[in-house]
Amino acid sequence: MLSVDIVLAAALGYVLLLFGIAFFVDQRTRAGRMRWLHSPVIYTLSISVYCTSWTFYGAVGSAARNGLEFITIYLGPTLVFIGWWWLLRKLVRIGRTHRITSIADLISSRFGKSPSLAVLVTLIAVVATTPYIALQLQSLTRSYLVIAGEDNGVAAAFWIAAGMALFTILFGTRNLDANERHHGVVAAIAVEAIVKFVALFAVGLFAVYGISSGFSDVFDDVPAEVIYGGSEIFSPRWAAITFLSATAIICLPRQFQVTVVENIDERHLATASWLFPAYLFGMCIFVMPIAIVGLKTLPAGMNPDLYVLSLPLAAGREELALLAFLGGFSSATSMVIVAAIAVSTMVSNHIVMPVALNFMAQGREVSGDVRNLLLTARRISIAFILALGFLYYQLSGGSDALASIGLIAFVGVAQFMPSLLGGIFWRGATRAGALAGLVAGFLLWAYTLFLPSFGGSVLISAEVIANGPWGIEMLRPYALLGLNQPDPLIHALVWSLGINTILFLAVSALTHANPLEQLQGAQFVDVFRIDPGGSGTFTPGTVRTEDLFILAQRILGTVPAQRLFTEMARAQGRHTGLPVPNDAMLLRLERELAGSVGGASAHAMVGRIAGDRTVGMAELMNIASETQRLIETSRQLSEKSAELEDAATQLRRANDRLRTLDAQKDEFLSQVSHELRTPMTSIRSFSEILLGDDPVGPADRTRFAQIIHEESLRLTRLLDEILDISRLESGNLDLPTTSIDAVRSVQGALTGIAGLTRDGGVEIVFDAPTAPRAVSANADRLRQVLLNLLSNAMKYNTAEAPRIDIRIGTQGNRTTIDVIDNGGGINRDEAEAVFQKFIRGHRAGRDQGAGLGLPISRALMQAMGGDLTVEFAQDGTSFFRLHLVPANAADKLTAAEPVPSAAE
Amino acid sequence: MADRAAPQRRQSRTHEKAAIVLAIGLLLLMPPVANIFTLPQKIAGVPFTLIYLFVVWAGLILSGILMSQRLLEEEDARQTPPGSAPPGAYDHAGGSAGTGRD
Repeated sequence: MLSVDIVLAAALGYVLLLFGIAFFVDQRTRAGRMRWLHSPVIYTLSISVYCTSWTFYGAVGSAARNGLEFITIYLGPTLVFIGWWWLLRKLVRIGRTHRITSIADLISSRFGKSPSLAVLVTLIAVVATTPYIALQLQSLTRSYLVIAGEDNGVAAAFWIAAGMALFTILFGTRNLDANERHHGVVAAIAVEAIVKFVALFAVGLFAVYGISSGFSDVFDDVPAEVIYGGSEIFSPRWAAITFLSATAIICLPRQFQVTVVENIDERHLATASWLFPAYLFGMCIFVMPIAIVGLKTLPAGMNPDLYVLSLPLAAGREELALLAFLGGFSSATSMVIVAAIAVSTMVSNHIVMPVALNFMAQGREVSGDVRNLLLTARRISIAFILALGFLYYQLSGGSDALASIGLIAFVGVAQFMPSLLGGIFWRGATRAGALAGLVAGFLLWAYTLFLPSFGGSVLISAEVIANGPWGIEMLRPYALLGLNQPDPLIHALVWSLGINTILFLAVSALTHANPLEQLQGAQFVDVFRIDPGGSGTFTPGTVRTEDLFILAQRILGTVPAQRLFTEMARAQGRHTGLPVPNDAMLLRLERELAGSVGGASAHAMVGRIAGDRTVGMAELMNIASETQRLIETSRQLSEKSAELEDAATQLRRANDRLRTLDAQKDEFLSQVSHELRTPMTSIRSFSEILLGDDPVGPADRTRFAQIIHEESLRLTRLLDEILDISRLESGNLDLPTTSIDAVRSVQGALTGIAGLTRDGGVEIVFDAPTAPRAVSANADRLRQVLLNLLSNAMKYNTAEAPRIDIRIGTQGNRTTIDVIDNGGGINRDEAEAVFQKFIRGHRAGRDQGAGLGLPISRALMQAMGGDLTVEFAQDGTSFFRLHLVPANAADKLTAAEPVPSAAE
Repeated sequence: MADRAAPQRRQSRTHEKAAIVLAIGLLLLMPPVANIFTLPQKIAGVPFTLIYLFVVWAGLILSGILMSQRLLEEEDARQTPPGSAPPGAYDHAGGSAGTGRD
């Protein structure tokens, strides 16, 4: 035994130390000089609030009773943190994005900021947390009684509860931090985490190496049943408790508080994902040895739940016992403090606030009044929760097995699991589904596990527990519908969580979510993808910024509200005055307020001033389901690929065309060289003869010179033609057109060719119309084309009595000039080929022209806007037709003489 | 585009690895497989089952350490796409972003 004074002094000193740390850190954080506190190690240590006195004392007790089973409580969290950290990451991201203040806030915000869900979750949390707090009070009281050797537990329990309420109120409700973070408290519980770890480790080392002589001595002649806790260790119960502890690490309000709400930096989670399991590992290493050493050395009647304390006491190591007491004290207080903060936040935000909202409208409006109200509500709820825990402790009369109380609470909070997981991974989850599942799960948990745990003293009598209500056996709490499961824990877990999940899924599938639910659902499920922009559009025009400012002032206090509004005004680009109440501003305000009063209340309050909101089309598009996104993406992809295909086809076509053109160019070049070489050869050979030594007669000389001259002319003509065609094809030929009379052009051409026709004996028939035909053309070039056609008709005419008909007609608004000869025409398949360079019709013999006349003529006609085509008469004979565009009415009809003109 | 896709791919890889670790952990620690290891032998005087549980546990923690390092690298790499990081969320990000690793 230690003297009461020493124990009290140590406890008091330790509490003062914690106060000091919390106060110091709070002050420094305010001054912004606490960077080292933003460390993943501090974060991990705060998560270890999971290890309560249930771990510190209860794990050894559990090990003494049930062998290795205690490990399951720590395997569940280990598996979650290592194998499912991305769930935690998602929770943290959602918490940061939506300013989530508690697990009730998360579930209610997800399901359309539903106040009823928030109240329900808060109630479950209060009911499930109370036994847990009672558990801490009980173990603290007992440890105090053991170490101080007293026997009035009630007084001790009362003072412990009161002391913890004071600490929590002092440091948990100092302010309504915008992010609901409590740096001082976190620092204090981090210190407590170290103390409890060191204490348990020290006791373990002492048990193994102080009392026994090493591990092999500890486990010497220990029967297997002690280790396995019965015949089978890896039983369904093993799996069930692992599952429960895994859900608890996610769903316990205090774990949510430290893991999600108090998280400063998402990256800390990466470290915590292995450091927290490592902490649990360290906490568990000596549990089994302490239990075995306790069983071996301590008298049989001792409570195994207090072996951690009894072992050093029995061995007379009082300083170690004191350390163990402080360790247990640390683990209990840290749990109670965090749980009280978490639950009081829920109670004040989701139960007190909505009630207060109804009175707010009438009440006087003073800056910070809502804030003060909230703080008061939070303080009162802390006291209330601890009082409730104390009451439970009194009522349950101190159940012997700490572990069972803890597990009852675990099953209670496990009811959040379906709504939580469904809410953040399934867009289809609805508010109705969550409500149905939670209500059913909660009722079943209360009926099959929680209420019977009082042993018949609360609501359910021992008679009902044994035989069912009204004697209906089917409704016995421990064997509902005749489910024969010897373990009430598994029985309750299967019923409550099973029905909860089924109802959640089924009702969600059968009901439709309202737009706000859908919007929130999408933002929660796709929190990593969707820009956390908006959640609903306010009806514009009715909002006064002054009203909003008053609201913010009432909740945040004057100075923070002013800071917030200045910031918002600056974000809108206004340097003075209040911000304009647009959607973005209202949403930001609501989110800021949600950090203090919770999503549902903030939504209601802002909505009262700004009017109800609708969910805009753009937002609905933004949250369009994954399938629609995929469809849209694949549609865009297929469009793109069709475009690419198109482009590829065009490229292929262009390539083909280029190849053809290249081949044509090569052919053209070889044709040109060929055509040029023929006259060149004769010029060269004749000039060589003239220059040669052999005497040439004067007649021959003249003849040779004549030939050379003719060939030179032919060469020149050919070069002119080639120049013409290359100019025409490159579009470089300047071809001024004027308004001329087509009839006179034909007559002019006939006059020019009259000598030839007379010599060749060709009959030319031209039935000239009396009225002039005004066309737009270049008189010289038109004459060139006509001459070319006429000379062709004469040159290649093999008929007995050559005859050429010329007719002028109209086709649409165009004037046509047909040149028809009786020389046999051309074949249909030659019709286009004759317009290609160096191609001669079948009528043309060798050395009769270079085959450039028709291509040049056509190019000239086309350059003048007209055309030259081969037409076929009904009897199959072919003729050439010139198409000429009509002259502009404004142009004056001129003679066939060219008039230089800038026009056209 | 390429540096943006790479970390995302690696992130999903880490997700997969975590899921595999979870599956292995569950298999080894849950009945019926775990029952294979309820042997009566002792190793250095400590019951085999106890050693087994703690060894598996330590293995899980070890894989957790490895994965968390990958995770932090990916977080750094993810800083590169503009506008994706919430302001102030990552104070010491960006230095090694996106380039030169692996």
